[in-house]
Amino acid sequence: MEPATVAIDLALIAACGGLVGLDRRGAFQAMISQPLVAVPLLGALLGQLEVGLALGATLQLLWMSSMLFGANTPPNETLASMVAGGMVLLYGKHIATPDIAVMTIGILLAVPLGPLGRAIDVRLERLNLALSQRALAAVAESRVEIIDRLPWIALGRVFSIHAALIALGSGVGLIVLAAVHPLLDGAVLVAVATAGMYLVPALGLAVAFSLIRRRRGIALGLLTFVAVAIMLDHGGAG
Amino acid sequence: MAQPIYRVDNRLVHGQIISTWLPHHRLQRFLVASDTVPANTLQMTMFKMCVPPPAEFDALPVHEAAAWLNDKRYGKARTMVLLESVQDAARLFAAGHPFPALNIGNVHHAPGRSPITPAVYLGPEELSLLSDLARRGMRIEVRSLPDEPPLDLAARLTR
Amino acid sequence: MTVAATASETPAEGTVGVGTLLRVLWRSFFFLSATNFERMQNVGFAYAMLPALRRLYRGRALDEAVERHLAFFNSHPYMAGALLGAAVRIEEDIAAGRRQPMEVEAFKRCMMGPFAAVGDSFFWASLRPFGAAWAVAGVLSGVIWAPLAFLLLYNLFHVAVRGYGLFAGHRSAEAIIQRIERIELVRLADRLHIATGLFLGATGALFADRAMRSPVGIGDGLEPFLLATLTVICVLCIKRKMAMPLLLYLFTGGCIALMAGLNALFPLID
Repeated sequence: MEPATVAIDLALIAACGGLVGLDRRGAFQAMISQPLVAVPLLGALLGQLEVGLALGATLQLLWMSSMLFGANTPPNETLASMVAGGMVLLYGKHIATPDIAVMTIGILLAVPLGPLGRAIDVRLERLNLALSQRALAAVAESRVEIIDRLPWIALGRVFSIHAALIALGSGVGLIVLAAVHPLLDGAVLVAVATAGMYLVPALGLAVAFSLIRRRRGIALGLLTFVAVAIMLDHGGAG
Repeated sequence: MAQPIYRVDNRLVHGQIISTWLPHHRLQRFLVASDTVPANTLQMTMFKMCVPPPAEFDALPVHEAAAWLNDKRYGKARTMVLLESVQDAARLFAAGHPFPALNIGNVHHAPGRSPITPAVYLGPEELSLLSDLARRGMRIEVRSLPDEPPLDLAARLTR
Repeated sequence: MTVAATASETPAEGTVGVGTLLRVLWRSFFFLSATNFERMQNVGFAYAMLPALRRLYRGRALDEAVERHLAFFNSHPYMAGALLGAAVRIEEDIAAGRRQPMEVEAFKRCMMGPFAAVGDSFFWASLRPFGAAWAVAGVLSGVIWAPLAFLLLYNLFHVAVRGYGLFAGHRSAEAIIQRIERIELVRLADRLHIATGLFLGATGALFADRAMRSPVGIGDGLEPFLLATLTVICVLCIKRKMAMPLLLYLFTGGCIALMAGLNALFPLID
């Protein structure tokens, strides 16, 4: 592990993290910030597309219910996913190919950043109150051109916070992963891998299934589950 | 037979209602009690459009809504009664329909109102109307989404 | 940006041309940037309206017009395109003295809720889960471009609704509502919910298959049953309003404690 290349990678993670942080809410909402897109993107940038895809798929399901409705602020799925992605991808590039146990530890370490990110988003919205007041003052002073600048101030804050937290979280996470992984004995690692193979996907599927409004959709899901499982079983045996 | 859910929401039917409250309580009918909405054909078209079938949407002036609710015209349908403001809620109550519980979902900022939660701003007028309702035994909670922990406003007001 | 290409066309005084509408469209992508709890998306709305308002008003009249659009506003960012377009059209009429300023305020106040309902339930609660479920199933079956396809499919709808909404809104003012109604996004949302279930079922089977081929497979083809059982348990917990992070820690912690504890008693794994 060379500190110089890790530092370059962290800068890359910061830039990518800041941009997807902007996309999440402040600008575009093009869904580049969804875990399934953002984490593989980071993976491609760090030369670890496969790892990014596997991790992104699981994170996408886990955070699927995080939606912005009106004045309600949801957990920040982008922050939690990008930090999980950042630390696991760095581990993969600089230490060893991440197996399911490493990915699971990464997800577990980064999950609290979802609720933490929500608290940060709420703070940012409070700060934006000053921008709204400045806009009203600008109108009173007959200087509407000030309003042209206001969104960029808000976007600047969103970019910096996401860039800083995602890079910091990934760096700290890498150190924790590198320190913790060798300490775990075989039985614990098997247990973590088992949780990562069954429990984490099951929880993700449960989150996603509970979003379906129509009972017919859930019934259809059960049918395809059985059909595809049988198909794969036969394909695997042949 | 389920009691209707009474909710104050300044945007009436919007994303939170359709995407969270509707599936959570399997709602089948929405009734807006407002003196302006039934007369506004644009708004009526839009509300009817955004409520997914088989759920139904209707709007009545506050007095007619009180009578409609007293007659239990919603039948077996799980119903949400939407009110644009705390004032409308108090008027529905005063119009002879003493409903037992009120959810306050969204009341946006206006001069003189201070925040109770990020989504609910209440001023002296709203607070006095609500404490009056609370004293008459109404349960009042502040909550935007069904899976949030509710804030018990009645307890706070009558304390 | 494509603004320069169309700016050569000079619309009549008192109306807003295609170039200006494109600038409004571009600015609508930053609609949520300065969201605040007091007036929500007011700054975003005024920011997006500014290029059009500058064409219609000068001096004090401009200030007053901007102030109108700094009132409380909260809707869905994509659907706001249609409301912006209609608001520009009503402002043209106000500038020409054909309508009253309060009409644009009333229009926005009435429409933000229903437009948010359509946008939230179609884009957030239906199209995004559908696209994501499809793409997750794709990734698990080895299609590496699935996230890219999700991005393209989703943004096709997204940009079309923003752009169509803005121009149709400008053309038809309040009648935009009938146009949006005709797209039947609500019915489409319903179908997407059913299709999402289909792809989630496939995703579950693919996860079970991945587990089967992993070193922690349990053998005898029991993996799908284990995964399905765990999913049902998790669904029941979520229905009881337990949050995902809590469940994740509870279950993985329990699983690790159980397995490590069992192994300490009956050493099977070295």
